[in-house]
Amino acid sequence: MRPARRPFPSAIPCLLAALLLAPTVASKAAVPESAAKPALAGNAPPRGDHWAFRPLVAPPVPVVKSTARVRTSVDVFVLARLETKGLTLAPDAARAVLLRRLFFDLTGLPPGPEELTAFLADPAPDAYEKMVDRLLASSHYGERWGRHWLDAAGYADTIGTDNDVNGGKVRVGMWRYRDYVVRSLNADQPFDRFLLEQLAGDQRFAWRRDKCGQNTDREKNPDQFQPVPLTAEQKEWLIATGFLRTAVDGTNNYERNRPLERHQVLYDTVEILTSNVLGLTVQCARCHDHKYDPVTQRDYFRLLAFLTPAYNPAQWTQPQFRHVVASTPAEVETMKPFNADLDKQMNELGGRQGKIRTPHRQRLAAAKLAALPADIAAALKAAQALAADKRTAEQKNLIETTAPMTRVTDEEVTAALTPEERQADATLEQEKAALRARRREIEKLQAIWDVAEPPPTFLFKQGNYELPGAEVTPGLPAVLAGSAPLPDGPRRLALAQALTAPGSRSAALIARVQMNRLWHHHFGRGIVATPGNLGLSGAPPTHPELLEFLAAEFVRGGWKFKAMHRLIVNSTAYRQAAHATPELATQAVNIDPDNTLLWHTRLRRLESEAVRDAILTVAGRLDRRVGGPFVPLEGRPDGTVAIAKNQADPDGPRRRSLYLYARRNFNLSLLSAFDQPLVATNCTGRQSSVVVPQALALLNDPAVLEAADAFARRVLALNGSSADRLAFAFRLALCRAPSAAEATAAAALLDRHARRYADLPADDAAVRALSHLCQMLLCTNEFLYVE
Amino acid sequence: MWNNPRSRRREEAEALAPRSIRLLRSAATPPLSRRAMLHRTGLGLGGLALTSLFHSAGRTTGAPHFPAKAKAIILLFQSGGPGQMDLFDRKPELQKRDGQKTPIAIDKFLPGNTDQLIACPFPFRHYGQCGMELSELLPNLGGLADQLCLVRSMHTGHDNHTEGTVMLNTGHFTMGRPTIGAWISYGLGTGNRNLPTYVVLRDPAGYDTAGSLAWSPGWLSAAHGGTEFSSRGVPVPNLRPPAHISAEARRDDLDFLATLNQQHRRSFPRESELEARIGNYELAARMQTSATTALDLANESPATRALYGLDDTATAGYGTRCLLARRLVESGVRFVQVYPDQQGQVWDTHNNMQRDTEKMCHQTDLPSAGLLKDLHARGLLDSTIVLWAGEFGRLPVSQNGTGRDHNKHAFSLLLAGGGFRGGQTYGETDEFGYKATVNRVSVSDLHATLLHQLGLDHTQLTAEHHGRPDSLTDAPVTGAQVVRELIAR
Repeated sequence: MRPARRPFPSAIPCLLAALLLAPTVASKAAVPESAAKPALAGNAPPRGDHWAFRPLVAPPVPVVKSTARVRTSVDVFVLARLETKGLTLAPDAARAVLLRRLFFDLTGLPPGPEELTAFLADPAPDAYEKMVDRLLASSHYGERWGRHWLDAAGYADTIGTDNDVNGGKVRVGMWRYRDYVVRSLNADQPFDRFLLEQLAGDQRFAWRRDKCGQNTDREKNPDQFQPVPLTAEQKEWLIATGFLRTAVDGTNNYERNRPLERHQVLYDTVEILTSNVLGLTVQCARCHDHKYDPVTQRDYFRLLAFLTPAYNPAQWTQPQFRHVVASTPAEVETMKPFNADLDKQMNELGGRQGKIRTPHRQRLAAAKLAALPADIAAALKAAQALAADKRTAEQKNLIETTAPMTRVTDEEVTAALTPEERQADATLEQEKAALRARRREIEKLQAIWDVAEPPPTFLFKQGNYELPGAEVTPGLPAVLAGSAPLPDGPRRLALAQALTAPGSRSAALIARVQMNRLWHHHFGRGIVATPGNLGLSGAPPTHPELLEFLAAEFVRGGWKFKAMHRLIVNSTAYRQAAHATPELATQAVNIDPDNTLLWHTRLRRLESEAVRDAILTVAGRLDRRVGGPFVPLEGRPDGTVAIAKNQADPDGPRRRSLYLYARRNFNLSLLSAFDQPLVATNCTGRQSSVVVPQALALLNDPAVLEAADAFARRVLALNGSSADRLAFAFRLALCRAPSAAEATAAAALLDRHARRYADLPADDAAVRALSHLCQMLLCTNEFLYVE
Repeated sequence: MWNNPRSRRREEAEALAPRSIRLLRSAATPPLSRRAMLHRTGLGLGGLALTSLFHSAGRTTGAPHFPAKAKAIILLFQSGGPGQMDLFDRKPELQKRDGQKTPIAIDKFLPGNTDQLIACPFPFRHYGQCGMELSELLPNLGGLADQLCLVRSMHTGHDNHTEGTVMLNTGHFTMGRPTIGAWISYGLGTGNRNLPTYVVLRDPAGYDTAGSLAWSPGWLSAAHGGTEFSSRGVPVPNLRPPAHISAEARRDDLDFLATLNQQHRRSFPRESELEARIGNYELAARMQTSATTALDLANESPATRALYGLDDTATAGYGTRCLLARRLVESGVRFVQVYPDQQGQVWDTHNNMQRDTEKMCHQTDLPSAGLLKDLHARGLLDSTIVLWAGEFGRLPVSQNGTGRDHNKHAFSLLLAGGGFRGGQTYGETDEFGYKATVNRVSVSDLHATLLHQLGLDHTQLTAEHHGRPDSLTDAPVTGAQVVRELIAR
């Protein structure tokens, strides 16, 4: 049986209110005592009475003893729980530790050495708060927190089940949705509006030229599906609805374009929407009323009915035909000659490169051929002279088996060039890249729209679409709907309006889900430890009043995230050290061994993207550009996935992990090793595993080794003594100076390596030796964790 | 390939030896964070299948629920869907009505299907004491009929390869759920801390259409996903440092790293996860030896090599992987997935079933039987389940004149060892082999039975997903049950 839920503490007198932002609703006990009863016991109260489903009421503010430690209202709630157990907060963390924590939490990147120095030297009493403001204003904030939202939304750049490493089917223009999320968060767009745009941006204005359901025309020429000319804002509204295009949709394949798979797209979209936005798991209610939560089978199909006009299994558009062309016909026309001109120039440059490279290539090829035994070389020559379809099986086999010995790679040709030639070749390559970057692409985006008049939606008996039961109308689950009727208008627009309607139960739940997620990402664990499930089967909240307070405050402040971040990261609770004082720790370990009450900050491992982005940052290699098409990846024969060798953008490999091709199943191996999730539907909470492939990746992944070399070169470029350089390396990787013992160990290591590489030219030897040390800094637990 | 890989490996092993093995000694671990650590380190987890809904009934971590009959499973995955009526399920009525219009309605998958029944082109034979009826194309497996448990009444939920393969491994056709191998890793933990618990041996030439979804950890920790071991070259990606970094240089690096990590570790005495991570650097070094040794076939006798058909190019690839599977199971690996040669769905006989079925039987019959014989000879068959199965079956009607299309309503599979009842034929299909009719066995029933033989109760092996307990068989929805008739009494 499940354990009894932890009782909520009784109401605490409200004396500290003056310290706090005034609650909007008259204070009364936030959560009645009745909630203390185990909800699934025989005489359970109605399940709709579950705390998460109630209207939002700002809780009374508790009284605490350690008023000196209170920086924001968050602290009062955290301290109140601690003090009931005779505990308190740990001292503040050291400033450098705090800065590193803040940088990773708000931007997903480590601070640079200059930023660290400036912050440590800033005597202003509000230096920390100023830094918070600065980071919240940084465009990297949207990248960091956009990633969290994209996880919950199930974002991927592919259409179907992602089962072929080199055959992923791209969902055209989906990346614009990723950038929309980053922009919206950077602009601190109110969450209710953010949600409305994503659910129903297409229903806010008239944009379509076609009549409903011209599917056959789309299949003939999807690029002709051009709406009326769009303003920038309207384009944004359409792109936002890519939110409802994230589900796996294999119906692009003929053999998967059947009722079974079409319905599955609907089911998955409902699952993503509910686990993300409502923090509920409803998928069991497809077949039967939910066992634990007050969600009936009828509720499930009423939710589904919001989506059937757009995903109508009887009138289906395959996903490869769903993009909208946002460029106008006139724009498309002007692009053609413009691009043709660029292509011509690039060809010309390519020709000039060929003149430099081809003689070397031919010479190298001839040398390789000459190295083969004479009879084989002769046979091979004869085989190569024939057209491919004229060759015998034997000849084909010969060409194939000798290929590794005769192939001349681009790298080999480059290495064979004279210094002057190499310079000229590189210049031409750069000019080509600059031209390529200027090419104009037809702007295609993913959006959702209703394909026809709303079809009738039926409840499926046993969840089986072949057994339709009663017809249902769209609506929120009864437990959230209250008595308010659904607003008039298109269905998804009505859904968006109903969800965040002021004072509604659904708005209360949504605010709790969002604030719990905010807490989860700042503290490593949500106030409710199951961020995708705040229902009866989820974990009970550790700080129920705090969650109510944050949710109420979020709504009161106009659903804006940045103010809530400030409230949290400026708090003493957030600024705590990762260690309590020894006396407190001895006591606390017995009272609250799992640190659920937060008597110190939790040590958190960096997420996969942050690991790679931090490595690139420390190496001085990170390309900080925001947004744009994804960076292609490719599968290697050994089963790993790497950044593709051929990149339209030569700086692609240095871009943030957010911009790598987002696969469902075949993500970059380095990221997968560090728990980049498999995106089957969506991810409301990542794993943080400790497995050997992580050690192997940090030790031997070519990208890490390359970064370690760049890191070493960066350190060597510093003017100063070897001690200065060592300190610089530690500062870059760990935001601190080495201890005396570490400096001694590092010097010894460098010395051993220097002797090992003594035969190399001095510069190479120095890089090599230091590269070992730099790589080990990247391998440390200290680097991998935020304190 | 190196000229003398074995001596180089020995050198490396010596250079990497234990200067900081002592660092693995674990500090005293406070009782409650042990759970958190185990969860995150992906060590034995059976007892940690705790959720906010259920207490575990006093389970010991990593221990089975009840005494196990078997310790390991080898899945010989016959990618593409072998035809049940051509190999395992003789249908006289189908032979009689060859070329006639089918009297029953048939769900077809791809174009090119007709309503014409098409007979099995191969004769059947009675094999063994038990007289099991199997195709003449399977003389080697047939020779072991008294040890085989043939199930003719399997059915599944999807008739496309990817989904069918995902379903055979996870119990559901949508992607994203943990596979049975992942559940076993989660439930029982490792049998050899120097090797992964769950290993995949695919054709180095490529994947089938389900690719790595067939060994996915789903929403379990990444630690429980299958690890691909390459049967050619370096067994695991990133296993070795690049050529310019010598083993001695790496040893110096790791000692320096250990110094830094130990200092950091002392600041966080309660975070045992850090200790596990420190240990992983040493394990990574040891794996260079252990993984390479486990896959080194140089010491296998000529007789053993012949048993697996290593001397015939037609059987050498699949045979090598069968032999590696035995070695891995011997080393304590709990779940091994073996794939046949060739990229793609090799049993997928849409066009020329006679030619393709003959070819696949030639490739797989001898090595599959060789594996059973070898396991038996080494006393490993009793504790190892060998499952020979594809993702679905095929239709009784003809496609493109000489082929058969996919069929989710019936397929046959073979089980051997691990306490399964040999010499038994279980279940029946209709007169054309189209639908399983008698003693139907679902994929979830199969999973429940396999877990049962490993000492795991499929209703108790749960893990939290979206805040609720979920399981491999999801028995409340699928109605999965252990098929006791398949098990030896």
